[in-house]
Amino acid sequence: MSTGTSAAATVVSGVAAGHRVQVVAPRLLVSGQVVLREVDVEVHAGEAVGVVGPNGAGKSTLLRALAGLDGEPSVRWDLDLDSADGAIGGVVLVGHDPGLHPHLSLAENLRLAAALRAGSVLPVATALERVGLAGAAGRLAGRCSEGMLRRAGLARAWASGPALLLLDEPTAGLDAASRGLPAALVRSTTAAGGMVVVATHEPVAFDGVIDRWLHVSGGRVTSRQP
Amino acid sequence: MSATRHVVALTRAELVLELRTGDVLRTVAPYAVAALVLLALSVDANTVVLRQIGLGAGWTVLLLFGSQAASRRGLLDRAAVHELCRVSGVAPRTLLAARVVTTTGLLAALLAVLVPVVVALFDLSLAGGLWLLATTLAALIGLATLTSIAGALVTTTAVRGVVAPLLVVPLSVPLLLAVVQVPPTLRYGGSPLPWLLVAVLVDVTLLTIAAGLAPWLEGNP
Amino acid sequence: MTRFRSTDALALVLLAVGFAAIVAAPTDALQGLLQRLMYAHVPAAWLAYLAFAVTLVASIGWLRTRRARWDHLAVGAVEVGVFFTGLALVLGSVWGKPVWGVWWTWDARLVTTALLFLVYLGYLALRRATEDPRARANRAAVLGIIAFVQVPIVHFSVVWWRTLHQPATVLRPGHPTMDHTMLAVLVVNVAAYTAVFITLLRRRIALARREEELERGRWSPTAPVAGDAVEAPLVEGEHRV
Repeated sequence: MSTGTSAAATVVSGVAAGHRVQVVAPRLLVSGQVVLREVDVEVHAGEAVGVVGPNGAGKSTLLRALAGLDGEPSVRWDLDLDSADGAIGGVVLVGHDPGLHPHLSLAENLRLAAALRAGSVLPVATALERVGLAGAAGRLAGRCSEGMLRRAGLARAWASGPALLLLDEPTAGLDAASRGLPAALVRSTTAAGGMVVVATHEPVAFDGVIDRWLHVSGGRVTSRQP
Repeated sequence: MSATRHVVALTRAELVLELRTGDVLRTVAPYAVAALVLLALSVDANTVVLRQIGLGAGWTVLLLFGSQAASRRGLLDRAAVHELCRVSGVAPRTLLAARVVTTTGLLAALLAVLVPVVVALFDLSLAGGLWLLATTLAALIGLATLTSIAGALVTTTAVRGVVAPLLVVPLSVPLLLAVVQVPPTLRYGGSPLPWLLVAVLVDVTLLTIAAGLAPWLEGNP
Repeated sequence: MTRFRSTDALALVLLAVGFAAIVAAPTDALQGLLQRLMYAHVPAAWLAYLAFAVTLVASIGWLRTRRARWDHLAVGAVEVGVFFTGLALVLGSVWGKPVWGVWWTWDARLVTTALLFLVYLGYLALRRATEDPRARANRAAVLGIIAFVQVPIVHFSVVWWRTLHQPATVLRPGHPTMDHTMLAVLVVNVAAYTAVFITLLRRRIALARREEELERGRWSPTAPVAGDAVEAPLVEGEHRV
């Protein structure tokens, strides 16, 4: 179901109050190794949370747990989405691998992603245009550069208008002109009442859009002042 | 129903991929044909022998090379795409169903290529037409289901090409026997119905169990 | 070395008794000395199928409870089972050649045993191919359940096939009616082999449990996490703080 208008324009007060995601776990494992301990992270509607920490600390692991991808019985994952608002919904995770099949074109990849959800708030063509890839819409993903694929991943998020947006180091590989894209995406998602969690090595790029910061290191997730 | 829509969207994308990469039709099929030629040569291209082994040789080759379809790098075999599906809320059962539908299509295409080759090389007479067709289709679905399950179980790319077929082959023996026994049963005046039922039984049990175990096959519970 | 337990002792005693029984058993009128191979072949085959049943139970147990002990039981049963299955096939072959003149007969039970052997090997290959411990346990359990349901169908289809194509001589690896003494010897050896199976299984499970304790040691609050292996890089001319 496409609304035809940009997601940023629609904010209906009170509707977004129901959104909430929480993950509580005694430990988070990757391939049997302990990465994080005593995890308790909660995000509410309209909130943008930033995650910083050194390489290998567990930022991606935390994002995947928030996406509900960790099925360990000891991990409690609660996702409450207020489905009253039809314009936004669902979870989008844009990880290091943007999830595009190399033998499908950018547009085909995005259309498939849209077909797997209830629909999109933006037509695929508009989303690609927003990230500056309109001209490459028909190009096979395998022939696109890393930066182009990253932008296409952001376009996928834009088109979906998610209730929970998880971005894993979204500025990596982007050129100077598109460096502001992730922050704009965060802003439009929270404005529409969605929740955002961004893992980044460049907190500066998200100045003004992040409400609070989490620090991941030594196996722990702690709040910190920006 | 959104599950049907998901299956259609995924299958369509997978078949588009197959048309572009030609993994099955342009790579596995020629290899399978080459294997049939070798088989014929190995029995001295003796027409009498060829006629006797034709159906079996053809089905064995379809089985062996068709199970290679389990190791192709399709859409759902890329971890990031698979995760995208799960995060988007596609049910594990739907993912498995998409795999089965796609693989059935690919195997049917492979079969369509191999039939004329076997008829030509082995002078195969398609006696027992309808019974053979029905049993072949039932066996095809069973093979596709087995192959899909194997493809979902083995995700380590390096060994996928050997481990997945190894999982498929021993359990596909009833399917092989069912197809190959149809003409002799008809010749001796019996009814091939039991063989058709064997293939159908394999299909039903596989699909039922796979559907029940789908969360552990495609999800991460 | 693990402790020598009472079950080990029992297994050894039973094996010794079984062996003595084989030596003391009456000689078969038709096959002579070679027939005594049956006393090893049949128990081995019995254990091959027992291990398979144990794998099914363990697979279901794991999927329902997620307790590691079920996964240990499953892998133990398969590893010990593959040994006994291979043994059954080799003994059957060695027994068959001098007695019937062929290394292999297409008897339904033999064919199913051979396919079971391949299924076991596939199970172990799948476990080797999966690195994540939880995914490995999940997938192995799924395969265990699917295989258990499918192998009887395989067996039935082969039996049906054999009834349609009766071989010229009826080649069966066992007499339909056996002399009572021979039956007793067979039962003793089945018990002995089962005791050996249990011993090997227990040791394999103990090994798996030790491996897991080692893993879980890494879960203690004081143990290092994955991220601790990463430090700030050394920059030329500077010292790490």
